Amino acid sequence: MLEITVDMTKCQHYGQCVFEAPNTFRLNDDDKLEYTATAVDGDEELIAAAADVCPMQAITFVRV
Amino acid sequence: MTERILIVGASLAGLRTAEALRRAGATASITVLGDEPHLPYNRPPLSKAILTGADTADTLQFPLRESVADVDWLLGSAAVDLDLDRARVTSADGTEHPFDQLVIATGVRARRVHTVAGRPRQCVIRTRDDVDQLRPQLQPGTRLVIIGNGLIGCETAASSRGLGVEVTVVGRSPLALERLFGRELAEIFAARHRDAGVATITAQVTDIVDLDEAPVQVHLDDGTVLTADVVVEAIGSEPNTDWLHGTGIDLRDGVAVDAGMRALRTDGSVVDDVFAVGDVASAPHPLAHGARRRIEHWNMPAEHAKRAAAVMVAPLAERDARARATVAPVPSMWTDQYQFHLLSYGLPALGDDMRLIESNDAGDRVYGAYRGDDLVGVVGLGMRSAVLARRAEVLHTMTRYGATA
Ligand SMILES: Cc1cc2nc3c(=O)[nH]c(=O)nc-3n(C[C@H](O)[C@H](O)[C@H](O)COP(=O)(O)OP(=O)(O)OC[C@H]3O[C@@H](n4cnc5c(N)ncnc54)[C@H](O)[C@@H]3O)c2cc1C
Ligand code: SF4
Repeated sequence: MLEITVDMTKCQHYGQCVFEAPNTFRLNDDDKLEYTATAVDGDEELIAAAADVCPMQAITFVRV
Repeated sequence: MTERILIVGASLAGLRTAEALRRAGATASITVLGDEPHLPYNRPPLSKAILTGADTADTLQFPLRESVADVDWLLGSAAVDLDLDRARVTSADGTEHPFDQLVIATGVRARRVHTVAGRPRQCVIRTRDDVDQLRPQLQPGTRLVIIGNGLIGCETAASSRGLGVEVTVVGRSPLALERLFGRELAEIFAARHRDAGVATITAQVTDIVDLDEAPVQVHLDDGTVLTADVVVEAIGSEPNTDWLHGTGIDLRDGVAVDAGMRALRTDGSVVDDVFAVGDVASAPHPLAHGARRRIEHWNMPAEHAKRAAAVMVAPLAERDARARATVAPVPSMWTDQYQFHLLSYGLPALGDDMRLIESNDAGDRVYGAYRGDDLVGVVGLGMRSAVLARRAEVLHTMTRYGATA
C-alpha cells in the first residue's frame, strides 16, 4: 500500500496532480485540493507522476 | 547500439530525461554533466518561498527515484565544447566525455545589464547560489532596485516587500505582464504592487555604477539616478548554447529541434543522436502553427523529456515516424505574488483578443485568449476549476491546428 502526504503549507491548489491521478487527487467546490491518503501499490506510477508534476513539490509518498 | 547517453545540464530537464529514458526501456549508461554543484532542484520557489524565507533552499532538491539510481552525476563541471564528428563533449577541466547519444539540457541564464563578475550587490535570480548571494542583503529598510518588471521581477518585488525592503521596480513598459496575462489582469497586479508600497518607474536603465564604499547608482535614460543598497537584474534570459558554437547546429534562439526533440542544423537537416530539451530547446508548437519557440515554463521539460526518450530508444529507421507521432504538450505556468495566485494554460500571448470568461464577487476572474474564435490560452486569478476546465479547449485548438506540430 502507498501512503500519500501533501504538504498543505506548500500546496497552492493548482491541480496539476489531478490530471495525473484523478482517483487520488481532486479539487473540491471551493477549488481546494482534496486527496485520498492511501493508494494501492499498482498506482505507484500514477502517484509518482502526480508528485513529479506538482510545481510546489508538495506531494510525497511511501510504500508501507 | 546505444551504450552511452550523455545529458548536459543537471536540472529539471536533465533529470526528467534520465527518468523518461529508463521508463522507455533505455538500458544504456546515463551520465549527467552539470556546472552547478547541486543535484537537480526546483527553481520557481527561488523568487517566492525561498526569498520570503517561508522555505529554505535545502528543501528544493527533487527526489531521485529508484529508476535513476544508476545515473552518474558529474557536478560542478561545465561542458565547454561539443565535437560532433568525434561524438565527444569536453568539460572545463579538459576531460572528454564520449557519447552515443547526447541530450542538451543546459537551460538559460539570466541576462545582465553589464557583464559583471563577482559584484556582490548586483544580483540575479536563477540559481541557489544567486539567492544565497541576495538573501542576506535583504533586510528591513534595505533599498532594493529591481530592473525588469516581468514575472521574476514582480515576484521578487512581492517577496521583498514582505521582508520590509524598500522596493523600486524599473520597467521599460508600464505593464510587462500584459503580454502574458492581458491588460486587465496586468493592471490588477500593478495596482497590487502599488498598494504594497512598491515604487514603479517606466524607463530604460543606461548604467549601473557600483563603487565600493558608496551605494550603487542606477542610471536611467530620463536622467534619474536611483540609489540602491542592492540591485536585482530581472531583464530576461539567454540560452546556454555557447559550448555548441561551430557545430553547425541552428542556435538562432536556443537549440532548434524537430517535434521529436532532435537537434537541427542551420540547413534544417536532423543531427542524428543529438537532442535538446527544456528551456534551451526551441521546438515547433501547434499553437504557433508549427513555428518553433522556446517556452520557459516549468511543465515543458518533463513533456520534452517524454518526447525525446520515445525517439531516442527507437531504431534510427523508425525515428521519423516516432517524432511525428509524439503529442505536443499544453504549456502551463503559474505565478504567486502577495496572496495572488495565477494559473495559465496554452500561449495567451498568441491571442489577439482577451475576453473575460468568468468572474466572482471575491475578485477572481478567468480570461480566454482568442485568435479569432480559437481559444489559444486561458489565464485565471483564482477559480482553478474554471481554468482547468478550459485546458481541454486549448488542447482542442491544438488538435485542430495539428497536434504533432
Ligand atoms: C526564479 C525563477 C522562478 C521561476 N518561476 C516559474 C514559475 O512560477 N512558473 C513556471 O512555469 N516556470 C518558472 N520558472 C522557470 C522554470 O524554472 C524553468 O522553466 C525550468 O527550470 C527549466 O528547466 P531546464 O532544466 O530546462 O533549465 P535550467 O533549470 O535552467 O537548467 C539548466 C542547467 O544546466 C546548467 N548548465 C548550463 N550550461 C551548462 C554547461 N555548459 N555545462 C553544464 N551545465 C550547464 C545550468 O547551470 C543549469 O543547472 C522560474 C525560473 C526561475 C529562475
Ligand atoms: S499539483 Fe501540487 S500544488 Fe497543485 S494541487 Fe496538487 S499538490 Fe497542490
